[in-house]
Amino acid sequence: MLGVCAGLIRNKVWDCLHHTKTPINDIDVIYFDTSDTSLETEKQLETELARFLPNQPWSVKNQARMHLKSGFDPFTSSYDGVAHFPEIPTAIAVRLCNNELEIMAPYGLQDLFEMKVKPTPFYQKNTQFYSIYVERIKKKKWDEIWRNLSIES
Amino acid sequence: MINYEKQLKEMMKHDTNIFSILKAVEKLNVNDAWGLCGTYSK
Repeated sequence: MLGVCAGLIRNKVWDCLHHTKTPINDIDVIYFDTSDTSLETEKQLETELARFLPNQPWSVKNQARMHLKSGFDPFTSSYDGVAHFPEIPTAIAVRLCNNELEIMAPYGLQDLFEMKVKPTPFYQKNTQFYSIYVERIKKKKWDEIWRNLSIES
Repeated sequence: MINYEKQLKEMMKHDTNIFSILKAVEKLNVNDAWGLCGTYSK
């Protein structure tokens, strides 16, 4: 089963906390399958999702393929993939299971709800991936959208 | 102690757009090793 992760969930929480509503930029969907790591399968899943719910910015990623471009060791599960997202409030995924919402948040939910943006351990200062975190923070300009964020740089 | 998990579930539940997205994703059937659930520390 797949889950929805990252910005969609994070932005929803920040929107609620700021009493605003921002548009959905993309819908990141993840799963983990080492038996089929083809890009084509991810695209096929996006097509299927578009059939269920059209005109949405679907983006499906098999976490078993992500190490090929990220430079990390291969991930062992979706959880491991989410734990390697750049920011702590972004490291979150949810899915429905029998109408119940399941939450995956490797670093907890406190920073997300306290509107603190920090790098996950893999992107902290003195790591090789820190510059990726810094560039993302510069590019995203989240503090211009959600004024109460506290962003570590 | 603040129950953030409960707050998040409430936010998701009351957003029909997000709920539709989650329902669509739930319909897909693929092999998956989701890993641990919950807000555990790694």
